[in-house]
Amino acid sequence: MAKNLKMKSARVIKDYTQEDLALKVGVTRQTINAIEKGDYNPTIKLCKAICLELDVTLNDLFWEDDIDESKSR
Amino acid sequence: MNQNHDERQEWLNMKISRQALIMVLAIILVNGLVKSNIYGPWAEPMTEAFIIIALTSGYFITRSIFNDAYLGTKDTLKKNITIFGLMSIMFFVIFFIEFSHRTFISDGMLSGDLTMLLAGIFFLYTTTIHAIKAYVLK
Repeated sequence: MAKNLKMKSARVIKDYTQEDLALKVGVTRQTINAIEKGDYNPTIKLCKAICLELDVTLNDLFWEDDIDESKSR
Repeated sequence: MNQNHDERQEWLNMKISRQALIMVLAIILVNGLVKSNIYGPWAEPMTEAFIIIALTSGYFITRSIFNDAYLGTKDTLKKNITIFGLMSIMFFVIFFIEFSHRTFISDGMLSGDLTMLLAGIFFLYTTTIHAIKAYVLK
């Protein structure tokens, strides 16, 4: 899995550390780290919680553009 | 495992549990082969059971801790080090209280008296693993 840089930048824009975001969505810091590194594929429930906390949509953080492009070809 | 664990930790713990289950089945099989075909009974039943449980639990705890899946969102390494450390001390004290009356090997088998010592070693191991993890996280 590729790194989720979109999530990292959305978190940095909100001025949250991994620990801050983890506390707000009720997971451990290591889980946020694993999602950003692409080591863990979160459930839709956690994706929604993260999006709500970062004020972005699911598409903004979790939709991979290259998949979208390859389908439209 | 308690409700403090998040979804990644539960998923990882489940994965490690499956590996631990396979490990315990393999150990029971090897133990059966050793007992029936090679050496015969090598330990008293309680000691034998404890060694099998300690090996698989040790595997689970080690893998879970190093994958950041053992401690829940409300647990701390310090709390676990204290609890497991005290358990270890308690078992060592119980074992050494009547040390002179205890036997290590009887009739060519590991004695049941060793259970307390093994429990002490097991909790010392888990304390050490927690301490190593705390050191790595520094």
